Amino acid sequence: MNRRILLALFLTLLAISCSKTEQRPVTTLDTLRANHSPQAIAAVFAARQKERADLVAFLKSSSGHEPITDSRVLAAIGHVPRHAFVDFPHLVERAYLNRSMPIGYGQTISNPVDVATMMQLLDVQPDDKVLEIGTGSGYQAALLSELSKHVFTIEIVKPLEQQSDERFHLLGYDGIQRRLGDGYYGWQDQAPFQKIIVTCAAGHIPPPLLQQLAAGGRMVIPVGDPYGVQRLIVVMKDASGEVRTEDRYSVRFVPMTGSGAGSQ
Amino acid sequence: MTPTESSLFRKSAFAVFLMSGAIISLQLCLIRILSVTRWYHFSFFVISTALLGFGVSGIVLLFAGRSMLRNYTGACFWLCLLSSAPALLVLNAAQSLPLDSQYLLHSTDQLGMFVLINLLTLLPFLLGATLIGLVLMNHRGHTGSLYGISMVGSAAGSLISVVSMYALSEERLLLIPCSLAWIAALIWWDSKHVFRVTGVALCFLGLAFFGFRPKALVVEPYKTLSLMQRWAEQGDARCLLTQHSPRGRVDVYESHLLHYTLFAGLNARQAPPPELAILRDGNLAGTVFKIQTPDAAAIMDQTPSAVAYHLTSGGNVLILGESGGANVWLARLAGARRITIVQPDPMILKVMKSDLANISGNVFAGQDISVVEGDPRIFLEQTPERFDTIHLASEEEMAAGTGGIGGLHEDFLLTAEGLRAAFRCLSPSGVLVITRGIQTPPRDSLKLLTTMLEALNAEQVNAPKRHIVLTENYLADSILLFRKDVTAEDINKLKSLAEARALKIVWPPSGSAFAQNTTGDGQFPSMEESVSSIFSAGKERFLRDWVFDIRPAEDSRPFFRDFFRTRAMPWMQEVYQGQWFQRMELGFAILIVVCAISIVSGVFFILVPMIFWSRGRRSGKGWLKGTLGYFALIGFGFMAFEITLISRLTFYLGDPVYSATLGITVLLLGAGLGSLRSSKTDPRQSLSRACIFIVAIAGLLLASTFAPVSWIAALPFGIRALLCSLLMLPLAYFMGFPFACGLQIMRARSEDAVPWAWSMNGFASVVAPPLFTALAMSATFQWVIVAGIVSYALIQFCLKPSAK
Repeated sequence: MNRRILLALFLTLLAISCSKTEQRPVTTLDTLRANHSPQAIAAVFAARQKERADLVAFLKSSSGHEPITDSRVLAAIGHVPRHAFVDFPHLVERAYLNRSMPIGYGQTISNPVDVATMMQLLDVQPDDKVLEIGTGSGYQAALLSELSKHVFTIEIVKPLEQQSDERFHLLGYDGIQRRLGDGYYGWQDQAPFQKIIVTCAAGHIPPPLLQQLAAGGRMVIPVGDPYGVQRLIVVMKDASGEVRTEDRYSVRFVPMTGSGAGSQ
Repeated sequence: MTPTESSLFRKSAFAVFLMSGAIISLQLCLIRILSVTRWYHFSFFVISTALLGFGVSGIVLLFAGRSMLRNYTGACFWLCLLSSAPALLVLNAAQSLPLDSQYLLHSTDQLGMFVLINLLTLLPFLLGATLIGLVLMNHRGHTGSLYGISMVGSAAGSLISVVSMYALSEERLLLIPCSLAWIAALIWWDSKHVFRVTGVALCFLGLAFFGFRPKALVVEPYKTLSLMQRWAEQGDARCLLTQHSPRGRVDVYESHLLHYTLFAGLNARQAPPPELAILRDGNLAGTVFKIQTPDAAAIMDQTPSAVAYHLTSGGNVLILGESGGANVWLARLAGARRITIVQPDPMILKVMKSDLANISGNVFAGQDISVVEGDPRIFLEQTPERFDTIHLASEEEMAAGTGGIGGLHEDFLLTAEGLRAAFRCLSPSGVLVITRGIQTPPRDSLKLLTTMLEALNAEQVNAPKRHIVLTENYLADSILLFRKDVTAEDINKLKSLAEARALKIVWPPSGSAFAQNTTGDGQFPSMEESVSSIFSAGKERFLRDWVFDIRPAEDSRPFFRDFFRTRAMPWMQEVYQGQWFQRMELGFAILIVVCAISIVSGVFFILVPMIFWSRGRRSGKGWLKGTLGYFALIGFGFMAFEITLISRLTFYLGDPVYSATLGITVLLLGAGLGSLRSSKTDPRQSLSRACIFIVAIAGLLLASTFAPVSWIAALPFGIRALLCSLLMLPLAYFMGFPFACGLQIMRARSEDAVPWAWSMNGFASVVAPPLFTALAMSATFQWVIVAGIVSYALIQFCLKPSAK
């Protein structure tokens, strides 16, 4: 009797795992690769609008976080299809939850609250030249491109850079300037930048980024322990070039690979 | 015994010896492997998993023990054989599963994966423990001897594993326990059984194949080692060397993408020079500047600690725990006359002094350098030298314990006694410096201040607050402890040094106009207000009311990185809402979670089957309660003393790895000898005598303090280890009696005593480690000893009712 129960249990588990494997959904990118047309792109942007509207409502509220009040930031979040930036099929359904999610290679797509908070702190204006360090999935760069036409983004992990490159192309974000490289040194050829946003944890503020920040510019950067807790710091450079910092929030980001502040 | 019985007993005893060794070896090897591959929390779970295996094996024996006994040699053979190559296969499969620890709390898939990994890891322990339990059931008249042999086997297995870790890489380590199990299977070899012959041959081939072609370790993507491997794959990094030892694995990587400089301030105008990364167990342990002259390390002059070096320019510098040499360049930049480096890890020293000597500009060599291999605290206790600057480099980190279990880390340098020892090593004009990352709300710096105050009060320093300066940049707080009173002249000098480095002087209130950095979010008192409170008459109240536990760390509670307060959680949730979790110190909380998981696992795998089994059975309610209580108490008592003794050993030997190995080996060996001795005596009398001795010796342990450390510290390491072993041995010896004696007594009451005892002891051993660590953190280790004493004192009462 006991053996029969065990066997039945085993077979049930096997059946569940097999059925799960068969029902795996494909990602949005898979769909776009198969059919890359303006209609297909429009369909991606049209999909899951209700969830985006709910997310925007959540960001505007003060439930568990400081409310996001910048209407341009909220509009961008309401427009950009976050689910198209999630690679793992089993996570696509959860794209609009307030969660960070893995995108592979130890990197993540940050949770919507942190993304929106950083954008609000950055205060991007339409003519600002914006530099993003850490392209990752490309979601933040896509949002930034909704606010400014001059977005530059750098990724250090080659496969991620290739993925985001393809994703930008498939989703029609061809205006975003991107490259593979070491974000620590910024993008000297395009400097100065009015806004710099670092979407990965750094051990300290890289001096090259400070130099590439324009007078009157603003940088938002999480500084702290990699894979631990970081403090979100706003760096302001006044007209005379003097730099001031403000400590704003605690956040969790994956490290800026290279300047991580591991403990001894 | 007839010759046949005698032969069978010898075989059984040898199998128990080998399998006990295999189990402890598996435990140590898995801890080593997980330290490299996973987030370090997971190595913690191995101990619980192993002990849970013992508990569950009792249940297996309870249900299937009798049928196993009917084919005793066959059961023994297969239990041993399955613990060899098949176990290796299962463990490799467990290690290869795609667990993403970052999402453990958010994803049911990941939680399921975690449970599956633990269940797979549990299997080999379960098999080994079942074998030992089965042998104990079969040879009822030799309980004491067999249990003793098991203990001695465990001690031997522990030593074999540690020695093997020098020769084998982590990829091959599992060969040790699995080979021991395979040898144990050979004991039951019978050429007449085709299956056994085939099984042995196949397992040999499996082990040999694994030996030649081990499976590469899958390192979690969040570890620096994984990052370096990724960079190496895309051509941005190169592994220069990898070395292994029981103390850890050291990797050195070269990459143009490394830009590590801890706490460099806003005035730094240039990037750090090209670097190498030293990884210890897959985590960044330090970076090495690829430079030849101090000028190239100019960025180090922008770190907050640089102030201390400049205050005592041209002096005698002591750097405790320096790994990659960056602070040595800083000392040279500041014109140090002489530099002493103390590093506890011989592998790091070897790497720096030989392998990387040329590439690092011989930073650990030269006329001005003196390198000491040893524990910083022990060094401070024994050195007659006095220093102008003492830099606690090993204690510098971004965050104490948030997001990790740093809070569980025992640190005898950041205690009141440790800082007192450092203070005594300062020259009359000397300065001690330590820099730690800013946290909101503050905790590290405040706890450092209270610990320093405690140290200065113990040194009977007048007006301790006049000896302390606190500076801050946007990243870190830097505390300077002066041997003498800080004068106005010092403050003026400090002001100019601080301004050049974008530092704010927080204490003493100096009217520093420099306010480039704004920290804090207005939800709690500013750093200035907090420090003033600590230096005021209202200090005790401030400590009591502060959201984190910032009471001074002491040698009897050496958990500097533990700040957790349960009552702070509602306040944090209210103030920081969804972000409260990110600001909490999680070490203690994780410990409680581990404890809860252990209890739930124990209940699910041990207690529920026990209850299920005992339902409907008339015999045994009286002896059952006694058995449960007795063996649970032994489990608790043994673990209480084990945890405390390993902590004390760490203090006296200054090395956690050697201390744990020596502690476990001596305890198991001593207990094994005691257990062997118990088989030749009357169990009741022996038990009473043993308990009296245990309580008496533990009472002495309780009364003793850490006071004699200075003369013990002066002894060579070998003598220290021998002395500690000799001091531990009597307690360990007597701790071997209760289990064996109890089994003999209980066995007379029921045939099922062995599995019951096995299960309950396992259950208690699973729950005890996190429980007693939590007790040590919230009270002191003295209370853990008290818990051990109470456990052993109570076991007598568990036997009494039935005796009547």
